[in-house]
Amino acid sequence: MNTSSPVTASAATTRSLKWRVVDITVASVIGVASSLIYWLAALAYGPISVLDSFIPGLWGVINGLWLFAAPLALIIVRKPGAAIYAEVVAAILESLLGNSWGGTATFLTGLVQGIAAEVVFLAVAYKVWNLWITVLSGTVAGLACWGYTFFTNLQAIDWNGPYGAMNLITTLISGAVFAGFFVWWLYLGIAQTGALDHFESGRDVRAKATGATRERA
Amino acid sequence: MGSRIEIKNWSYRYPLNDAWAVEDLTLNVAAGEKVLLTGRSGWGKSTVLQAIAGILGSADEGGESRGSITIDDTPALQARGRVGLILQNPESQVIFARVQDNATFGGENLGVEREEILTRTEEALHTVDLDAEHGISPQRLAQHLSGGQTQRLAIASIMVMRPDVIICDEPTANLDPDGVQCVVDAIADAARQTGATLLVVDHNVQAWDGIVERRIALGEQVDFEDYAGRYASTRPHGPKALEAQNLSFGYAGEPLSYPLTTHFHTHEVTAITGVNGAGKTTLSLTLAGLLPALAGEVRVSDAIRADLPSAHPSDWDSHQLAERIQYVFQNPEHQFVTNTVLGEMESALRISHPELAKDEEELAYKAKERLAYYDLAEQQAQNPYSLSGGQKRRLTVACAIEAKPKILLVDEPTYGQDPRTWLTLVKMFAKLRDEGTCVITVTHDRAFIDALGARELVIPARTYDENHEDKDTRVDSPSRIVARLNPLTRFFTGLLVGLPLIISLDVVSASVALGAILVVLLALGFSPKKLALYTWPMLIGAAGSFLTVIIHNAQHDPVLASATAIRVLAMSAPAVVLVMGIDPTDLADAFVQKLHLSDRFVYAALAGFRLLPLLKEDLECIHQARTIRGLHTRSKFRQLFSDALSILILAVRRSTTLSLVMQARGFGADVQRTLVRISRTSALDWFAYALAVAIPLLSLGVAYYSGSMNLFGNLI
Repeated sequence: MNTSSPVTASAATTRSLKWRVVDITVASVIGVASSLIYWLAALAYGPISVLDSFIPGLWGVINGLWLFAAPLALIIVRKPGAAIYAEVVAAILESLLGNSWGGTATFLTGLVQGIAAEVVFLAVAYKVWNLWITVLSGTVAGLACWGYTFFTNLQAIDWNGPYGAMNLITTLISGAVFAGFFVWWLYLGIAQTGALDHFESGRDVRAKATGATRERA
Repeated sequence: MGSRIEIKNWSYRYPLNDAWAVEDLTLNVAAGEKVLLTGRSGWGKSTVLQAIAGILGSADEGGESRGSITIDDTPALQARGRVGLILQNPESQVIFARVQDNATFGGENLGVEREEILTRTEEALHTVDLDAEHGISPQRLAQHLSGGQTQRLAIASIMVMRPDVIICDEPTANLDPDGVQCVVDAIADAARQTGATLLVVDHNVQAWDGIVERRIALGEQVDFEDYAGRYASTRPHGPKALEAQNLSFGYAGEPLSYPLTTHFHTHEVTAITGVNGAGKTTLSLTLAGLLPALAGEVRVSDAIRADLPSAHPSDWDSHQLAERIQYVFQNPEHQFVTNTVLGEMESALRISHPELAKDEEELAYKAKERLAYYDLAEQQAQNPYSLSGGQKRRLTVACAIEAKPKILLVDEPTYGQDPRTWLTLVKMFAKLRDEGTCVITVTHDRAFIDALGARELVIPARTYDENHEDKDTRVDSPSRIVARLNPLTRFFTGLLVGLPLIISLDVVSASVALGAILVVLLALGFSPKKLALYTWPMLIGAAGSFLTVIIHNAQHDPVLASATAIRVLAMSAPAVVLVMGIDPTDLADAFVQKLHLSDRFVYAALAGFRLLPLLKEDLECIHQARTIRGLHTRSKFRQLFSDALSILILAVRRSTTLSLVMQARGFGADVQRTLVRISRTSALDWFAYALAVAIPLLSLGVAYYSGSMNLFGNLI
């Protein structure tokens, strides 16, 4: 056993899609932390929520905030199913704590949104990890969120009427902004602290940063 | 039986690091031998111990290792589960909510037979004095244990694994003196009973006398006792700076200790000491004005108060506070407010040098100069979170000092610090005191108190009927029948009963369903009051959906709006009422045993749930840190973004530690896990499912025959 086992960046490209324990705990805790952040968001958003019914689209603008756990977990952990897992963990935790969206129903919402966010990365065989794919994932999660609401609670309103269209547009934008750009910003922010050095995703960011510093020097 | 540990020319380098964390270490420990490694820090002790436990050095971590570590000739990575690891921080080693579930976890992961696990658990909990004899039920919530008890719980769970090797990473560093001896004794008993080889890293050499057979010195050897009195003050203390008058402190109206009356002076260091749980940190936060006093008052001197209308720090705004009082949190990561080291220092200088606020260039120049003074110049462009432990501590203390407060409070400054940082901190505090600052520190570190010749203020723990058992009784559901259902049944019947209603949007089916659901819930024993308590947010949601439909439906149809609102209630009420009070552990067991979901994913999620209260505490610390750093006046949304980032950083850190702890207990190995808790279903569960299907079918049937069926509303 007197061998050296260097693992360099090039060796890491043949990476495994198998989940390590640290992948599972990090994805699960991102779900847990997200439910805490959702709760904070609800506090910040609470005062204006009463206006929802009167201003079409207002509800959509903010919707994306509740979608970020799925893409974030996936771009950090880079394992198939991470988006669904994190979002479902967040949803189950929320339903056990009790929230205003109806207990177990949160589980279904979470599942639908997680699948939507996941599908985008599945389509590129979990090989592309950049801002634009993340924004696309957030947008598709937004689409799912909109579709779910109109399929369940808002059947009485024409989904293709002005209110539905307005909400669709705002929810898509909101998904792109909060579950896309914001998620990417969070990912870079977390990676820069060195907290993700156990992950290829984190090393990518840090290697670039140190490379840039060295070039400057 | 004990195993031989052989470390041969072993080196390890973390990913993205040029320097080796451990270089060319060779060490042999014979089977059954009991060895103490001394030397406080600086030789990569945690790295080595994790490698011996087989939880560091696998290829996909991106690190690099050389040489070998073997346990009886098996490479350590393949011997995972044979080595039990006890870490410094007791809290981080709690994985599940209850005492028993933590104790059995390692045995379950190793696939030990169920009866055997139960026998071993009983024995182990008895050995570490966490049994009925000591008033602790196996169902006690682990969060209600003291630090020393929590550490002993970690020892018990290691014992259940019957390890060949037990390794301990400064197991007593976090404990008050009373807790230390119990933990040392428990480790000695564990090693004796299991016959395991024992390898302890600790600087508290005396505590291990008579237990270890061999001592090995590694790294820097510093005898802190040599510094006693060396940095004591040469003059009497100055005038009063801060006073506590009959001060009662605690959380949620519950005082932690007896009311306190004392004075703190300028030119003085006061050390607040006392056993774990006496509320030392809470007291320090209350003195700093970051927590309200439960009773009594905290007053600053008139000199410090200056022109402010109130002498109570808790009445001041963030800026007034930051100019006068600074607080350094125990975890430096709670304290950071920018993403560079330079930014941290600039933020501190903005408080002490308001005139520099407009001159960015001058501010940066001054900040660089101050960083150089604290030997942090090279790190100025780095992210503060990415610094080493010692650098983080130095940076947070340096920033607090450079804000030029009149009063400085510091929580456990020397905790986990290497000798160099320790000495630097002693000098920093001595200088600050000699310049006239009132310094107050919470600490367990006797050598630190002696070196500074600090005044000691001992906080006694409040003696009260320690009856945590009351709080630990499980409240599964107000309905005795529901409490008897399998949690999975509760989870899915709540969903099932509402879901089919999606098919038709009409008042008839929604009302029939809601009526039937209410009758059933009342019959199950939920009082109307309880129902209202659980469902009021849904009432608001239902009212909101009524409004939305009546405004935006093409015909503004009040019937459709009513149907929507009633249906929202019918779908959400049972889903909320039935899940309230489900024990997450029971639900996880049911997911694994009844749905056959992957136990790795389910139990990692369950362990993640336990971090929620800790993350809430983190969030509170982050807010307090912003307040004390004079930054607590920002827009709600910016605050939300920075909160989100800070919480996620801490969450990732906590989950990385969690994965280490879980792996050290054999979690994730390719072994069929044993299930100690058994998830049961009975005929009652099938009846519940039948009822959950019958109610929506009945409602839709009534709607169909009364001709009011309205397929999917306007959707198709």
